[in-house]
Amino acid sequence: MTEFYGYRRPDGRPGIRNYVLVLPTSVCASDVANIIANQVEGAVSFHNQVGCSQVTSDLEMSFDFEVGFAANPNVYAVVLVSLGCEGCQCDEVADRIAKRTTKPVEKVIIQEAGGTLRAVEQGVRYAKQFAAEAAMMRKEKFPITELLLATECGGSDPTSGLAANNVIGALSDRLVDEGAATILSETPEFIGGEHLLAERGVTPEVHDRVLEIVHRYEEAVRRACGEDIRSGNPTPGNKAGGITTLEEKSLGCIHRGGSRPISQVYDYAKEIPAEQKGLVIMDTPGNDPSSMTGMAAGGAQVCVFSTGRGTALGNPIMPVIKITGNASTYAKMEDNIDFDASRYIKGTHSIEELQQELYDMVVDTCNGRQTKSEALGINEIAVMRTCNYV
Amino acid sequence: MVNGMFIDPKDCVVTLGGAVQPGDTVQYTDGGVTCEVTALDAIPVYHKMAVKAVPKGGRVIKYGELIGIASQDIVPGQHVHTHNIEEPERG
Repeated sequence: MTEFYGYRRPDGRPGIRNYVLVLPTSVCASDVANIIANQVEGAVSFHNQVGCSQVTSDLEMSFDFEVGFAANPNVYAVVLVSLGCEGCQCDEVADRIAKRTTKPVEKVIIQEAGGTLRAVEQGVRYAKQFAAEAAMMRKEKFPITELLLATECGGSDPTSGLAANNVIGALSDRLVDEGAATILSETPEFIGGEHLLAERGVTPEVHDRVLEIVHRYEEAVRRACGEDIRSGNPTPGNKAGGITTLEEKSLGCIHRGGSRPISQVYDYAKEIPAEQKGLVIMDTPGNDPSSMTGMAAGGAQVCVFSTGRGTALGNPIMPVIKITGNASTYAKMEDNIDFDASRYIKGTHSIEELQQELYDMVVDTCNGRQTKSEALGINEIAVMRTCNYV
Repeated sequence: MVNGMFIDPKDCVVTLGGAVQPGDTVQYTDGGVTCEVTALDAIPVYHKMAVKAVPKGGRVIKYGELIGIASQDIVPGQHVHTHNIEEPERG
């Protein structure tokens, strides 16, 4: 059984990083949160574009992502930063975090602290203390069964469905067979291939849920904007690369779900419990940063992300390993892309050989190896929403 | 000679492993049999080239599944992309 070194959290789950997360609960707190994180070695933050001025269903997704980020096992402790009057109220976020985990949480409320400077001072003091505690933690060995792997596909081209996603699919199958859990995401990119996924559902309920989330996504876009989802997907870059229709894109995209049965379907940013093993689906947008946000909030410790055109994206709390099947993209963007799967198209390596290499890279990443987006400090996120700001 | 990647026996297109000019030969393997088609168009790398004829309104298959409907007659050797296939209707 493969093992990796991680940090044991109060809920028993292993983190593969040991971050102090400075978490802005709304747009209005984001600058303060970032100033705090920049001041403290070991702290991370990001820009939060949601958390206020949202209808209830969207606000609930914002709560879910914030609470999920806080609960993610890669996070040692959390400094919540809020303005004071936003929809995602600081106390409510803290209460919801406490229902998931007993990890340390402190709160900074800008309106109560007396403005930006005083809030920054408070936050830096909390973050500094947490960082000092985090540094004292010892890593322990955990079995691979404790891993929850996120998978993502973005800036795709035809090589994504011929090589990169096939290698990820083989990796997913292996992790499932070894008793770990993996997530297939991006509901709109099931369109045209949803029947293939639905028939892999372990129960009639899972079968129906796969079809339902695809239908619901299409309808939500039509209702909200009166437009077909295809007006924005495939993207101009997908088409320039050789992908013609959304169906073609989807059929390549879902290869990364491998071939194992689909155990469950989770709503966006909802907790995927530690007992959940096997391949699951999370209902996320095709937009990569918001899809990865949902899976990190679900509890994924690491993500493997295929790209044909090339992408620079990462995530603030979940290391992202990027893989391409396009030789020229790898050559041009080697600073951003961790793994070259174009060797399958060239004919020098089999999918199985590349799967073994990628598996080793995932385990190394768990043990502390920095991914390229981590080394470059790329932390941008986005969050799913269905309605305009109100 | 350019390599074409033929994924499923039901497919009517190959994905090109290199860019082609009209007159170039594309080679691919279908069930162990080596086949050749002459390219009729200039086609960029990783784009699709037809290896089977599809009449206007016919189903265009890749990965063994429906990816689009031909908006004009397509013959082997032609570039297959947004100019000659459309999104299928959703059921």
